[in-house]
Parts: sequence; C-alpha cells; structure tokens
Amino acid sequence: MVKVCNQVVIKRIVRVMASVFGLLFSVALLADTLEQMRADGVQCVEPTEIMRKQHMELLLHQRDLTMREGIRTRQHSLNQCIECHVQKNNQGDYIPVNAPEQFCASCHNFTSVAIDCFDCHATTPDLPQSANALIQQALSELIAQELTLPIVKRSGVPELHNIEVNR
Amino acid sequence: MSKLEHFRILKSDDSGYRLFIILLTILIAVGYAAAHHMESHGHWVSGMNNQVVWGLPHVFAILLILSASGALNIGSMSSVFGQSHYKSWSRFSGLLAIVLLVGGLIVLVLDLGRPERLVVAMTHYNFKSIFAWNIFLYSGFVAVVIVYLWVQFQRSLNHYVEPAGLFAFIWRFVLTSGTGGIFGFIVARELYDSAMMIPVFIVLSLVLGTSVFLLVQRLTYRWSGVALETETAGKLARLLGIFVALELFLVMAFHLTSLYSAEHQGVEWFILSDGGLYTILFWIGQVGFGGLVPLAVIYAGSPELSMRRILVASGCAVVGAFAQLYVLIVGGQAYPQILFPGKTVQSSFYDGVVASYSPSIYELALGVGGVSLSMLGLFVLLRILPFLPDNRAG
Amino acid sequence: MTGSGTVSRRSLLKGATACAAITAAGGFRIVELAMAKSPEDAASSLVRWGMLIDTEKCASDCDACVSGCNSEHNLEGMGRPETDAQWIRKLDITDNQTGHVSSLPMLCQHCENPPCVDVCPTGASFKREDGIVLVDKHTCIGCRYCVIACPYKARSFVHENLHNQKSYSPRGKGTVESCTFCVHRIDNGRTPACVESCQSDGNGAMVFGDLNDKASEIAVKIKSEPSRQVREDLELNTGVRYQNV
Repeated sequence: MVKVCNQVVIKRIVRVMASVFGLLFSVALLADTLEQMRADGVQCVEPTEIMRKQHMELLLHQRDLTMREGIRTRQHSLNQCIECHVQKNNQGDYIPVNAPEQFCASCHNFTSVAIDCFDCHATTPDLPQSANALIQQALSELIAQELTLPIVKRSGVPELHNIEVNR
Repeated sequence: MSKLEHFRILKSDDSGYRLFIILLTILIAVGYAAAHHMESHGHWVSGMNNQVVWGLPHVFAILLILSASGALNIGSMSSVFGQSHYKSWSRFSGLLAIVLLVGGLIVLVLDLGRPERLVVAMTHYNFKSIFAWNIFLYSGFVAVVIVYLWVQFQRSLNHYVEPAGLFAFIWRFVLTSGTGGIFGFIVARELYDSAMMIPVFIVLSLVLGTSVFLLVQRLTYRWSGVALETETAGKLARLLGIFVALELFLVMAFHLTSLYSAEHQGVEWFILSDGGLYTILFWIGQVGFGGLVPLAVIYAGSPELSMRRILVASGCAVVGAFAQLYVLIVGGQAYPQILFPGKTVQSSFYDGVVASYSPSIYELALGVGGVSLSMLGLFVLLRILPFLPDNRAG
Repeated sequence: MTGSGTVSRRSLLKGATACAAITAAGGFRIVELAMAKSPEDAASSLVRWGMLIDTEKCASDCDACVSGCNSEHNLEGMGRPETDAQWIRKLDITDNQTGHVSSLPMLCQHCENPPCVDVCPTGASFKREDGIVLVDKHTCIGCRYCVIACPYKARSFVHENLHNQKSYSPRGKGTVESCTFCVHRIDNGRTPACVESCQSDGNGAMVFGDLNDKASEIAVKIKSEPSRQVREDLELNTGVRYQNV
C-alpha cells in the first residue's frame, strides 16, 4: 500500500510540475512571441497601407460591435493595438501609447489630429498583472485540489483512472 | 393693420452705451472662462455632485429659454390675436426671442460634461427622449422665428405675417410643453412626474416673456429713445398680472393635489415648510416676489400704471420665476429619492438624506455670461437691422 | 487568459495551442473558457442576465461586493464623497413602523424598460440584447438627464480627469457611468466581480445567471422562492431581484 501511495503521490507531483511548467511556458511563449513579432516588424492585422488610412474606421467599426453587441474579436480592437504597439522603458515598465514619441502620439502629434480615446481607455495593457494573477490563482487552485483529494480510496487500490476522468 | 409701420436701427454713440457693451463683453468672456475651467478640471470644481446634477446653469438656461418662448408672445398678440397696437413691436419681440433662446442654449451646452460633442447630439437621436425632441424644437424655433421676422421685413411678403405668426405661436407652445416635459416625464423624482409641469411651464413662460420684454424695451429706450407707449405698456402689464395670477393658481393646484396623497406628503412638506433655503425661496421668492408683489403693484392703486410700477412688477416677476425654477430644479433633486417607501435608508451615497448643493462662482459666471450674450446679441442686431419701431415717423 | 489563445496570428496561435495542450495535460481546468460565448458571437436576446440577492445573508458590516467592484473597475475615490462614483453601494434599511433592519447592495437594476435609456437624447444609454444596460461613452454628451431619471440612484457622473483605467473598463471625465454587470467578464463566461467577492469574502448572498434558462440556479430559485423588485410599482421589470426585504 505504501508503495502504491508513493506512486500516486509521485504522479501527482509530476502532474503539478507539468502544469506549472505549462503555465510558465505559455506566458513566456506569449511574451516572447509578442516581443519577437515587434522586433521582426511583423505585419500588422492589416496591410500597412490600409492601417495608415483606415485604422480609424476599423477601430470605430470594432468599437460599435464590441460596445453594442458584445462581439469581442480582437483583430481590430484598441486593446490589441496597444498590446502590440506599446513600448517598455529601461526598467521594463510599459510607456503609455499616447506619451510623446510613442506609437499613437508620434503620428497624431505630427499631423495635429487630436484624439480623445485615452480620456477613457487605458494606455497600457493590463496583461502583466492579470497574467501574474492568473498564474497565481491557477497554481493555488491546482495545489489546493491536489492536496485535498483523497490519495487512496479503498483498501489500497487507487482509482487512478477515476481521478484522471474527474479532471 | 392698415397703418404702414416704420422701423429704425439703433444709433447711439453714448458713452454709457459703449460702457454697457464693454461690460457685456467682459461678462461673456468671464462666463466662457468659467465654463472652460469647469470643463478642463471636471465638474467637481462646480457646486454640482452626484446627487444634484443640474444646478445654477440649468436654472439660468431654462429661465432664458422660457423667456424666449414668452417674449414671442408680444408679436403673436398682433399677428395671431389681431391686437394691432403691439404690431410695431413684433419685430423686436421676435429678435428678443431668438437672442434669449440662443443665450439659454449656450449655457446648457457649455454645462454639458462633453460640450465638444455637440455634433454627436446633432447626429445621434433617440426619439423616445424628450431631450432629443427639444433639440429639434429649439433649433426649429430659431428657424421659424427667422422666417416670421423675414416676412415682416420683406414688404412684398407681408401678407404671410399672419400664417407665419400663427405657426411660430404654435411652435413656441409645443416648445414650452417640451421644456415642461423634461420634468413632467420623470418618474424617479418625487417633485416631478406630473403632467401639471406642462401648463406650469407654459404660463411661467408667458410671465417671464412679458416681464423680460417690458424690462428690455426700457433698457433699449435709454439709447434708442424709442419706448413702448405708456398705454400699451400698461395693457401689457395688466396682462402680466393675469399671467402671474394664473401661475399662482396652477402652482397652488399642483401642490394641493400633491399634498392630498400620503405618498407625496414628504416632498410637499419639504418644499412648503421644512426645506430651509428651498422653503424660503418658495414662499418669499416664488409666491411673494413672483406672485403677490407684482399683483399688488399692478392692481392696487390707480389703474393708470406708471412706467415705474410696470418695471417693478416685471422685475419682481423675473426674480420670482428664478426662485421658482431654483426650487423646482435644485430642490427637486435635493429631496432624497424614495427606494423603499415606509423605510428609512442609509448609505455612503447620500441615500435618504437631503442632498447639499451650493452653487459655485463658476456656475454663476456661466449663467450671467449667457444672459449677457443674449443682451449683446440683441444690441448688435438692433444696430444692423431695423427692429425698433420709429415713433417719429408713425 | 486575455492575450493567450485569442490573438489571431499564426505563430502565436501555434504557441498558444502548444501551451494549452501542456496545461490541459497537466490537469489545469479551462472550464471557464469552455463556457464562454465565443468572441465573434453577439449577445443574444435568448439570454436575460439577472441577479438575486438574499438580504438575510447580507450582513450590514460586510462590503465585499463594493470592494470587489471598486478594484475590478478601479473606482478609486478622490476623497470627495459627494462627487466620487459608486457603482454599487450598501444600503441599511430600517422599517419605520417595526424597526426591522436589513442590509443590501444597490446597483444598476438592469431594467427591461430602463428610464435612463428612454430619456437619453443621443441613445448613448442603451440596453444590450441580453438585458445589460450600458452607457456608450463614445456618444454620451454628459447631459446627466439619465442620472435624474434613474429611480435607483445607480448612476454617477465622472467629475474629474481619470488615470489608470483598466483596459476592459474604460471610464472618463464628463460622461455618465454605472454598473456594467461586469459585461467583460460575462462575455468570457465569468460572473460579475461583486458576486465573486460576495462568495469568496462575503456571505454568499448573491446569485448571478440567466433568467431565461429554466435550469439555471437563479431561475430555479426565483420560481420556487419569493423575491421582489425594488420599486416594482414602476413596472420596469428589473434584472436584479431581492429576497427577504
């Protein structure tokens, strides 16, 4: 029985570690991909010509869809623009996209077109905080679950299969 | 009708006149600066808060809008009701109506949270909103009165004066109903939510329009030398007396019916006896200055009304109307909303308590700026086009 | 999970799929995401979101729902209580005759016939297909007529310049705002922040769900137990209902 127990515990530890690894990896990958795309100058959600001339129309269209109908695709959403185009300073903190010389401000200041988007909208993504919070929450849930589940159900025979299905 | 009327422009190089124009310009600049200050810092610098969201600027704006609608009445008296002795003043009446309305609207717009989005208000409409209707009624009013003035100015079109006047008369009636409806259609506030708001506002507009007309024609007389004949002014003042009495009657009917049902007794006792400033404004301002004083001045004593008595009655009526609108607009919001009848409610959001509102200097400046804008518009246009009757030629 | 799995770029998708596979293999629950309507779906009129609040469970000294809402939407006060926004507030109610005291949270009631929507001149106040009443701050001119018209005192006017808004909850000076039912959460299959806080830090007095779904906890509960609307005399058919008040 002791042996079986150990097996189950080890499997569980492995699973927890895999989850932790998976989460960390996914966040790292996401951040990395965004960084990489920015560095590579990967094409935006539409060809540059269209974006230059029509980003306002695209944003307005998306705005009404999201606001009025609850359609939350991200391709033309302002939050998506900000997530890709925001810059970080030397300390690794986001610089607001409407700060001088930043993505939105650089053109809009040059062309003297005032925008009021950022009277209301956030100028940096909340991704870092929310991703951290998400990882923490997921980890604590996972660990709590693994610790509270009965390890052995009946006379030494672990119902590994059932536990697996319950996940 | 048969007599050909003569009109003239205002010509004055009087230093007093110049001083007056300079004063108006300064007041407008101060008003605009105040509005700009409130807009750039946000409305927390004003007296307004989340309990009383419409304050002094709304009192001024509605006062001006009601005066505008009522001021047109002097023109309607001749073109709709055939009172020919008012005919020579109907151009002036139309002009006064337009400038007062524009002044009121500017105050209203500059007090918006996002005044720069006026174009949104002009392009997005919700037709179930009485406010949206009012945007049409107000801008339409200016257009209708311009047509009414045009057919008066253009001799060849003079035969259209009667239909144009009738149309303008109907329009201003609907407009004032719309202004009353802003409050009448609100179920959420104890003092509003009554169809009585509509007649109360219509008669108040007649009171205001008549008294403002009498005061302003006297003001222009200083520099134009053209005054309303004492006899006509006396007739108009006695008419003002009837309007004042009618308004007192309607207000009494409103409060008595409201007082009868236990449901509304809370707000009624608030206005009539326990409301502090609002109670004082009601009895001394609205009923005293706005009702009893003008009635006494007009009807007590010799039936030959002197210009002094006419002006005192008019001035008091305007002060009373101001108090009435303050009690209605601010007092109506200050009284707590009843979410749970028969229960006492407490919260961190001022539930169940009388909300405080003390007007800021910025709101006062904005309101005064609006009045000044109306007056400046009037005096500029009086110099450009012949709105004033030419007594000498007549 | 904002950002992962939804960004429409091939490389990113690949990464996201890989990590989703890993997390799933590791046993991480992604039930919440599975329950959400997909992002390209519009809100449907087949759904009517609603809330049931049991005032017997709601304690007078508890404001978990309020702090949950404030931190979710970053409603940081300016230390000026008369002009600070409140989307949800606690009411203490004493019966004038019996002295019975109860406590409950008051928020936008998400009426079926909302007076704020009726009076709004530009149509900025509107009701979504699924019954959520919102302010489109792009067309709100700040006239405050809706604040006058709301029978529940649920709306606030933003009296100053704001900073540090959340990306999912834009707010700004000169416009009117109120409880959104945490529409950004609902669209991702989650419950509003106040309900979540009430369950985790409060007394579990709030239930949220689809009133039209006969099998939902809220629908079952309001059918089997008595509940009421605040100011039901106005016939607004509120989406928020109360028990034991």
